[in-house]
Amino acid sequence: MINGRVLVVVLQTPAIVYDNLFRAVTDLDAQAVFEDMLQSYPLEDTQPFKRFSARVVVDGWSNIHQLPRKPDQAIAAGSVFAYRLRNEVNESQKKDLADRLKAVQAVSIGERCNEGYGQILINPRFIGIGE
Amino acid sequence: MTYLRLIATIRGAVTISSAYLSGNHMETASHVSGSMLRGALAALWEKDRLGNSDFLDLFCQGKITFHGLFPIPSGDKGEDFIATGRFSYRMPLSALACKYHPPTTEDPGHSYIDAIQSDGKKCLECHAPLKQCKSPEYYYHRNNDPESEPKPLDPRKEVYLYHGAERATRRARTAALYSYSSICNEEQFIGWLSGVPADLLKFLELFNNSLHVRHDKDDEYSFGLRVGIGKKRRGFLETRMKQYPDPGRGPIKRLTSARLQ
Repeated sequence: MINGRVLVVVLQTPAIVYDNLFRAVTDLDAQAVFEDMLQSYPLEDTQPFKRFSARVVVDGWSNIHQLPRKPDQAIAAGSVFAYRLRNEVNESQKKDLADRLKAVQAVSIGERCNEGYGQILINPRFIGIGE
Repeated sequence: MTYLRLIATIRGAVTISSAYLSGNHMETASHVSGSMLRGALAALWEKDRLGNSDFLDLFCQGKITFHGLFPIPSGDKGEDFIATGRFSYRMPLSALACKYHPPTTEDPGHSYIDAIQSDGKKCLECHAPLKQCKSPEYYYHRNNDPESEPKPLDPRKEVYLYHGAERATRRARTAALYSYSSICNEEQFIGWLSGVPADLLKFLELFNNSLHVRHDKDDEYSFGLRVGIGKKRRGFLETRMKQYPDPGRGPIKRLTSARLQ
């Protein structure tokens, strides 16, 4: 069961994310998602404490070149990563945190963002069942 | 950030390319990816009349984001989606459901379980094992209520079966049977383009000069998009593009604080 400090990131489209050695990653580091936007709300760990992810190869066909596109390794759409905040969020901080998360959500993550890759939702109300 | 909303309705049947091949069967994707949408819009761009430098600027430099097209329910429910600016969500991989009574059967007892929230490994109703929900790929909330139970969303599809030796298909390599699925006529999609207001305005002005684009009403543009397999001879997406009345308003991405409470 999760408590009130959890941020759940759900990928709506595949995300092409590289590490600092340009290797495709399959685990989403918090830095790749939140960058420095959380500031006063530090995370317990930069790695997610729970994850449900899959890998997918993004390729395609270029009509201009009449050749296949370069395949990219991506984290599949629907992948879920859960991070935990270090401290409890009190009532007065909730609005500020929600605004920051909305700003994070408006920006796609990873590469080829202008092609729709890397769209995320944070804490979407998916189920609410089993709580 | 300004958003242009796209509403696409399938005319005919469209097979959206996907990497999923199972034997001789090719399954259509349930959504149009951003790069595919970009390519379809680029095909409407008349390079000679509208300019190649502007094309490179708007389509290739990343000034406009092509978010893709995502399925919405057909009929009145779809109209409600369009009116309220909602969209369908991707089914999370943490979604589990009863192995023997999937929630799509409308049985209220056997519902989804989120493995992020719950460590349970059995159905709450019948204690059967759970399995990951990989199909359908999308869901939405009823009545614009994010607290309501998720409803699976799968566009209607039809399967076409053909013989490998058919001359029309030009695939007479073997005499095997092949099949592919298509999304049916009248199914609807919603999507967005986004960017800074100046870039989108420039895009609209130039795009409006294309002979492929109709500008019937003051603020709505309509055109046909051809995507997927056999795009030149099969169905297309009849698309309406409109700028949101409020420039700052985009798709309603709900951020629920349920987990923060």
